[in-house]
Amino acid sequence: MRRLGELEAEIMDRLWAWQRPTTVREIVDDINEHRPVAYTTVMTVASILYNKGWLLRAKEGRAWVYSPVRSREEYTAALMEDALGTSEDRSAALAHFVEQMGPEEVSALRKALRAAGRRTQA
Amino acid sequence: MSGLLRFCGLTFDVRIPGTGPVGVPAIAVPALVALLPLACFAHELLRARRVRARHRGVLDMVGRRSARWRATVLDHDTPAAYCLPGRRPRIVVSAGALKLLSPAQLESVLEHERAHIAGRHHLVLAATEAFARVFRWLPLAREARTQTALLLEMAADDRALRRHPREALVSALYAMAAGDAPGGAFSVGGPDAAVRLRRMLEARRRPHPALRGVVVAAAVAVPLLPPLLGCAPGMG
Repeated sequence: MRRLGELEAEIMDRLWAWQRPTTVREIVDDINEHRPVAYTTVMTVASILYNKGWLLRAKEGRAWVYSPVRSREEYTAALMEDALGTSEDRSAALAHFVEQMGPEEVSALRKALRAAGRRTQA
Repeated sequence: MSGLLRFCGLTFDVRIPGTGPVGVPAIAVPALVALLPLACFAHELLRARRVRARHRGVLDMVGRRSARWRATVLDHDTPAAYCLPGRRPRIVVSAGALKLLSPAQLESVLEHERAHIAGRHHLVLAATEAFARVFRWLPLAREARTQTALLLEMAADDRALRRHPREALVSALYAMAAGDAPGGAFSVGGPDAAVRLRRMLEARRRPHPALRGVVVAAAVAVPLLPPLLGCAPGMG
Protein backbone atom coordinates (compact mmCIF):
# COMPACT_ATOMS: atom_id res chain seq x y z
CA MET A 1 0.00 0.00 0.00
CA ARG A 2 1.54 3.28 -1.05
CA ARG A 3 1.28 6.30 1.14
CA LEU A 4 -1.41 8.84 0.45
CA GLY A 5 1.21 11.52 -0.14
CA GLU A 6 2.73 9.57 -3.01
CA LEU A 7 -0.58 9.29 -4.83
CA GLU A 8 -1.16 12.98 -4.21
CA ALA A 9 2.19 13.75 -5.80
CA GLU A 10 1.44 11.43 -8.74
CA ILE A 11 -1.83 13.21 -9.43
CA MET A 12 -0.26 16.66 -9.17
CA ASP A 13 2.64 15.57 -11.42
CA ARG A 14 0.23 14.64 -14.19
CA LEU A 15 -1.88 17.76 -13.89
CA TRP A 16 1.24 19.95 -13.94
CA ALA A 17 2.60 18.10 -16.97
CA TRP A 18 -0.62 18.12 -18.99
CA GLN A 19 -1.54 21.73 -18.24
CA ARG A 20 -5.22 21.33 -18.98
CA PRO A 21 -8.34 20.53 -16.97
CA THR A 22 -8.44 16.78 -16.46
CA THR A 23 -11.00 14.21 -15.35
CA VAL A 24 -10.29 11.58 -12.71
CA ARG A 25 -10.80 8.92 -15.41
CA GLU A 26 -7.87 10.25 -17.46
CA ILE A 27 -5.59 10.25 -14.42
CA VAL A 28 -6.64 6.72 -13.43
CA ASP A 29 -6.03 5.41 -16.97
CA ASP A 30 -2.57 6.97 -17.04
CA ILE A 31 -1.53 5.59 -13.66
CA ASN A 32 -2.96 2.18 -14.61
CA GLU A 33 -0.39 1.92 -17.38
CA HIS A 34 2.23 1.46 -14.67
CA ARG A 35 0.29 -0.06 -11.79
CA PRO A 36 -3.29 -0.83 -10.82
CA VAL A 37 -5.16 1.83 -8.89
CA ALA A 38 -8.86 2.02 -8.16
CA TYR A 39 -10.96 4.80 -9.66
CA THR A 40 -12.54 5.56 -6.29
CA THR A 41 -9.13 5.92 -4.64
CA VAL A 42 -8.00 8.53 -7.15
CA MET A 43 -11.35 10.27 -6.92
CA THR A 44 -11.04 10.46 -3.13
CA VAL A 45 -7.49 11.75 -3.24
CA ALA A 46 -8.43 14.32 -5.89
CA SER A 47 -11.14 15.72 -3.66
CA ILE A 48 -8.70 15.74 -0.74
CA LEU A 49 -6.36 17.83 -2.89
CA TYR A 50 -9.27 20.09 -3.78
CA ASN A 51 -10.12 20.54 -0.09
CA LYS A 52 -6.48 21.24 0.73
CA GLY A 53 -6.46 24.03 -1.82
CA TRP A 54 -4.14 22.41 -4.36
CA LEU A 55 -6.78 21.85 -7.06
CA LEU A 56 -9.63 23.73 -8.64
CA ARG A 57 -12.57 21.83 -10.05
CA ALA A 58 -15.45 22.51 -12.37
CA LYS A 59 -18.34 20.44 -13.64
CA GLU A 60 -18.04 19.36 -17.23
CA GLY A 61 -21.06 17.31 -18.26
CA ARG A 62 -21.47 14.84 -15.41
CA ALA A 63 -17.82 14.63 -14.36
CA TRP A 64 -15.56 16.96 -12.41
CA VAL A 65 -12.52 18.31 -14.20
CA TYR A 66 -9.55 19.27 -12.06
CA SER A 67 -6.74 21.74 -12.60
CA PRO A 68 -3.90 22.93 -10.34
CA VAL A 69 -4.38 26.17 -8.43
CA ARG A 70 -0.75 27.16 -8.89
CA SER A 71 2.03 25.92 -11.14
CA ARG A 72 4.86 23.78 -9.87
CA GLU A 73 7.25 26.71 -10.43
CA GLU A 74 5.13 28.97 -8.26
CA TYR A 75 5.16 26.50 -5.39
CA THR A 76 8.91 26.00 -5.78
CA ALA A 77 9.54 29.73 -5.75
CA ALA A 78 7.41 30.05 -2.62
CA LEU A 79 9.44 27.34 -0.89
CA MET A 80 12.71 29.03 -1.78
CA GLU A 81 11.35 32.32 -0.49
CA ASP A 82 10.42 30.50 2.74
CA ALA A 83 13.86 29.01 3.10
CA LEU A 84 16.07 31.84 1.92
CA GLY A 85 13.93 34.91 2.07
CA THR A 86 13.67 37.52 4.76
CA SER A 87 10.54 36.16 6.40
CA GLU A 88 10.83 35.88 10.16
CA ASP A 89 9.88 32.19 10.10
CA ARG A 90 13.21 31.36 8.61
CA SER A 91 15.55 31.47 11.56
CA ALA A 92 14.36 28.72 13.84
CA ALA A 93 12.67 26.48 11.32
CA LEU A 94 15.13 26.33 8.48
CA ALA A 95 18.86 26.75 8.66
CA HIS A 96 20.41 26.94 5.25
CA PHE A 97 23.98 26.36 4.24
CA VAL A 98 25.10 29.89 3.51
CA GLU A 99 23.52 33.18 2.59
CA GLN A 100 24.35 34.98 -0.59
CA MET A 101 26.73 37.83 -0.01
CA GLY A 102 27.21 41.35 -1.19
CA PRO A 103 30.08 42.24 -3.55
CA GLU A 104 32.31 43.57 -0.75
CA GLU A 105 32.15 40.38 1.27
CA VAL A 106 32.67 38.29 -1.85
CA SER A 107 35.88 40.11 -2.75
CA ALA A 108 37.09 39.83 0.87
CA LEU A 109 36.46 36.09 0.67
CA ARG A 110 38.29 35.80 -2.63
CA LYS A 111 41.32 37.54 -1.08
CA ALA A 112 41.28 35.17 1.89
CA LEU A 113 41.10 32.18 -0.43
CA ARG A 114 43.98 33.45 -2.55
CA ALA A 115 46.11 34.12 0.52
CA ALA A 116 45.43 30.61 1.77
CA GLY A 117 46.29 29.19 -1.65
CA ARG A 118 49.66 30.99 -1.56
CA ARG A 119 50.36 29.67 1.93
CA THR A 120 49.78 26.08 0.93
CA GLN A 121 51.94 26.46 -2.17
CA ALA A 122 54.77 28.12 -0.25
CA MET B 1 17.05 27.73 43.94
CA SER B 2 15.08 28.55 47.07
CA GLY B 3 17.09 25.92 48.90
CA LEU B 4 20.26 27.64 47.83
CA LEU B 5 18.89 31.00 48.93
CA ARG B 6 17.91 29.65 52.30
CA PHE B 7 21.27 28.03 52.65
CA CYS B 8 22.86 31.35 52.03
CA GLY B 9 20.59 32.98 54.55
CA LEU B 10 18.95 35.10 51.91
CA THR B 11 15.30 34.20 52.40
CA PHE B 12 13.13 37.17 53.24
CA ASP B 13 11.68 35.93 56.51
CA VAL B 14 15.13 35.14 57.83
CA ARG B 15 16.77 38.35 56.76
CA ILE B 16 14.09 40.81 57.67
CA PRO B 17 12.57 39.84 60.97
CA GLY B 18 8.95 40.68 61.58
CA THR B 19 7.74 40.79 57.96
CA GLY B 20 5.73 37.62 58.41
CA PRO B 21 5.12 34.96 55.75
CA VAL B 22 6.41 35.41 52.24
CA GLY B 23 4.01 37.53 50.18
CA VAL B 24 2.56 36.63 46.80
CA PRO B 25 4.87 38.92 44.80
CA ALA B 26 7.90 37.33 46.41
CA ILE B 27 6.91 34.01 44.85
CA ALA B 28 5.19 35.22 41.71
CA VAL B 29 7.98 37.42 40.35
CA PRO B 30 10.77 34.81 40.43
CA ALA B 31 8.35 32.16 39.18
CA LEU B 32 7.40 34.42 36.28
CA VAL B 33 11.03 35.06 35.42
CA ALA B 34 11.67 31.32 35.38
CA LEU B 35 8.48 30.23 33.62
CA LEU B 36 8.22 32.91 30.96
CA PRO B 37 11.30 31.79 28.98
CA LEU B 38 10.22 28.16 29.34
CA ALA B 39 6.73 28.89 28.05
CA CYS B 40 8.19 30.95 25.24
CA PHE B 41 10.60 28.11 24.38
CA ALA B 42 7.71 25.65 24.14
CA HIS B 43 5.75 28.10 22.03
CA GLU B 44 8.76 28.65 19.79
CA LEU B 45 9.22 24.89 19.30
CA LEU B 46 5.59 24.42 18.33
CA ARG B 47 5.64 27.39 15.99
CA ALA B 48 8.77 26.18 14.23
CA ARG B 49 7.33 22.69 13.93
CA ARG B 50 4.18 24.07 12.34
CA VAL B 51 6.23 26.09 9.86
CA ARG B 52 8.34 23.04 8.98
CA ALA B 53 5.32 20.76 8.58
CA ARG B 54 3.71 23.21 6.16
CA HIS B 55 6.96 23.55 4.25
CA ARG B 56 7.48 19.79 4.12
CA GLY B 57 3.95 19.24 2.83
CA VAL B 58 4.60 21.43 -0.20
CA LEU B 59 8.15 20.15 -0.58
CA ASP B 60 7.04 16.51 -0.82
CA MET B 61 4.64 17.51 -3.57
CA VAL B 62 6.92 19.58 -5.80
CA GLY B 63 10.40 18.27 -4.99
CA ARG B 64 12.12 15.30 -6.59
CA ARG B 65 13.60 12.71 -4.27
CA SER B 66 17.17 11.98 -5.21
CA ALA B 67 18.27 8.55 -4.03
CA ARG B 68 21.85 9.28 -5.01
CA TRP B 69 22.16 12.35 -2.78
CA ARG B 70 19.62 11.25 -0.20
CA ALA B 71 18.03 14.65 -0.58
CA THR B 72 15.06 16.42 -2.12
CA VAL B 73 15.83 18.44 -5.22
CA LEU B 74 13.93 21.64 -5.93
CA ASP B 75 13.82 22.88 -9.52
CA HIS B 76 15.12 26.38 -8.94
CA ASP B 77 18.09 28.19 -10.43
CA THR B 78 19.27 29.88 -7.24
CA PRO B 79 21.98 27.79 -5.60
CA ALA B 80 20.68 26.77 -2.20
CA ALA B 81 20.94 23.99 0.35
CA TYR B 82 19.01 23.80 3.58
CA CYS B 83 17.51 21.30 5.95
CA LEU B 84 14.18 20.75 7.62
CA PRO B 85 15.06 19.31 11.01
CA GLY B 86 12.69 17.43 13.26
CA ARG B 87 11.23 13.98 13.37
CA ARG B 88 10.78 13.66 9.63
CA PRO B 89 13.82 15.55 8.42
CA ARG B 90 14.52 16.56 4.84
CA ILE B 91 17.63 17.86 3.20
CA VAL B 92 16.90 20.13 0.27
CA VAL B 93 19.17 21.23 -2.56
CA SER B 94 18.19 23.37 -5.48
CA ALA B 95 18.89 22.47 -9.09
CA GLY B 96 21.07 25.59 -9.14
CA ALA B 97 23.29 24.11 -6.42
CA LEU B 98 23.52 20.80 -8.29
CA LYS B 99 24.69 22.67 -11.36
CA LEU B 100 27.14 24.87 -9.46
CA LEU B 101 28.83 22.31 -7.22
CA SER B 102 31.04 19.35 -8.04
CA PRO B 103 30.02 15.99 -6.53
CA ALA B 104 32.70 16.30 -3.83
CA GLN B 105 31.57 19.81 -2.92
CA LEU B 106 27.94 18.76 -2.85
CA GLU B 107 28.74 15.81 -0.57
CA SER B 108 30.41 18.09 1.95
CA VAL B 109 27.48 20.52 1.87
CA LEU B 110 25.02 17.68 2.42
CA GLU B 111 27.15 16.42 5.30
CA HIS B 112 26.96 19.92 6.81
CA GLU B 113 23.17 19.79 6.62
CA ARG B 114 23.05 16.27 8.07
CA ALA B 115 25.10 17.58 11.01
CA HIS B 116 22.39 20.17 11.73
CA ILE B 117 19.78 17.42 11.82
CA ALA B 118 21.80 14.90 13.82
CA GLY B 119 22.88 17.58 16.29
CA ARG B 120 19.29 18.76 16.86
CA HIS B 121 20.49 22.28 16.24
CA HIS B 122 16.94 23.53 15.81
CA LEU B 123 16.32 23.03 19.55
CA VAL B 124 19.20 25.33 20.42
CA LEU B 125 18.02 27.91 17.90
CA ALA B 126 14.51 27.77 19.34
CA ALA B 127 15.91 28.30 22.84
CA THR B 128 17.91 31.39 21.88
CA GLU B 129 14.94 32.64 19.87
CA ALA B 130 12.71 32.33 22.94
CA PHE B 131 15.33 34.00 25.13
CA ALA B 132 15.60 36.87 22.67
CA ARG B 133 11.83 37.31 22.62
CA VAL B 134 11.36 37.34 26.38
CA PHE B 135 14.31 39.61 27.10
CA ARG B 136 14.12 41.64 23.92
CA TRP B 137 15.45 44.79 25.60
CA LEU B 138 18.67 42.97 26.53
CA PRO B 139 21.44 43.38 23.94
CA LEU B 140 22.83 40.09 25.25
CA ALA B 141 19.68 38.24 24.19
CA ARG B 142 19.76 39.59 20.64
CA GLU B 143 23.48 38.98 20.38
CA ALA B 144 23.10 35.45 21.73
CA ARG B 145 20.68 34.60 18.94
CA THR B 146 22.96 35.64 16.08
CA GLN B 147 26.13 34.31 17.67
CA THR B 148 24.52 30.95 18.48
CA ALA B 149 23.39 30.61 14.88
CA LEU B 150 26.96 31.23 13.72
CA LEU B 151 28.37 28.76 16.26
CA LEU B 152 25.95 26.08 15.06
CA GLU B 153 27.07 26.66 11.48
CA MET B 154 30.66 26.22 12.62
CA ALA B 155 29.76 23.03 14.48
CA ALA B 156 28.14 21.67 11.32
CA ASP B 157 31.19 22.74 9.29
CA ASP B 158 33.46 20.86 11.68
CA ARG B 159 31.40 17.73 11.41
CA ALA B 160 31.43 17.90 7.63
CA LEU B 161 35.21 18.37 7.71
CA ARG B 162 35.64 15.13 9.61
CA ARG B 163 34.58 13.17 6.55
CA HIS B 164 35.30 15.47 3.66
CA PRO B 165 38.34 17.40 2.50
CA ARG B 166 38.65 21.01 3.60
CA GLU B 167 39.00 22.24 0.03
CA ALA B 168 35.61 20.80 -0.93
CA LEU B 169 33.68 22.55 1.83
CA VAL B 170 35.62 25.82 1.57
CA SER B 171 35.16 26.08 -2.17
CA ALA B 172 31.50 25.09 -1.91
CA LEU B 173 30.92 27.78 0.70
CA TYR B 174 32.57 30.36 -1.52
CA ALA B 175 30.72 29.27 -4.64
CA MET B 176 27.34 29.32 -2.92
CA ALA B 177 27.92 32.63 -1.15
CA ALA B 178 29.19 34.34 -4.28
CA GLY B 179 26.66 32.73 -6.64
CA ASP B 180 24.19 34.96 -8.42
CA ALA B 181 20.63 34.97 -7.28
CA PRO B 182 18.54 34.82 -10.45
CA GLY B 183 15.49 34.50 -8.21
CA GLY B 184 16.14 37.99 -6.95
CA ALA B 185 15.20 39.23 -3.53
CA PHE B 186 16.68 36.67 -1.21
CA SER B 187 18.35 37.82 1.94
CA VAL B 188 21.99 38.74 1.73
CA GLY B 189 24.14 37.50 4.55
CA GLY B 190 26.48 39.49 6.73
CA PRO B 191 30.06 38.58 7.55
CA ASP B 192 29.15 35.10 8.83
CA ALA B 193 30.30 33.28 5.72
CA ALA B 194 33.62 35.14 5.79
CA VAL B 195 34.13 34.25 9.45
CA ARG B 196 33.43 30.57 8.77
CA LEU B 197 35.63 30.52 5.71
CA ARG B 198 38.63 32.13 7.42
CA ARG B 199 38.20 29.79 10.36
CA MET B 200 38.32 26.77 8.07
CA LEU B 201 41.28 28.13 6.15
CA GLU B 202 43.37 28.71 9.24
CA ALA B 203 44.25 25.13 9.98
CA ARG B 204 45.04 25.49 13.64
CA ARG B 205 46.50 22.77 15.71
CA ARG B 206 44.31 21.53 18.51
CA PRO B 207 45.41 22.96 21.85
CA HIS B 208 47.27 20.75 24.26
CA PRO B 209 44.92 18.55 26.37
CA ALA B 210 46.25 20.11 29.57
CA LEU B 211 45.41 23.60 28.31
CA ARG B 212 41.94 22.46 27.32
CA GLY B 213 41.46 20.95 30.80
CA VAL B 214 42.44 24.24 32.45
CA VAL B 215 40.02 26.18 30.22
CA VAL B 216 37.15 23.81 31.05
CA ALA B 217 37.91 23.96 34.78
CA ALA B 218 38.02 27.75 34.68
CA ALA B 219 34.78 27.91 32.72
CA VAL B 220 33.05 25.82 35.38
CA ALA B 221 34.66 27.52 38.38
CA VAL B 222 34.25 31.19 37.48
CA PRO B 223 30.42 31.26 37.45
CA LEU B 224 30.42 29.44 40.79
CA LEU B 225 32.64 32.02 42.47
CA PRO B 226 30.10 34.79 43.22
CA PRO B 227 27.56 32.52 44.99
CA LEU B 228 30.33 30.82 46.94
CA LEU B 229 31.81 34.13 48.03
CA GLY B 230 28.35 35.49 48.79
CA CYS B 231 27.47 32.44 50.83
CA ALA B 232 30.62 32.50 52.91
CA PRO B 233 29.11 34.67 55.68
CA GLY B 234 25.91 32.62 55.63
CA MET B 235 27.79 29.45 56.32
CA GLY B 236 29.36 30.84 59.45
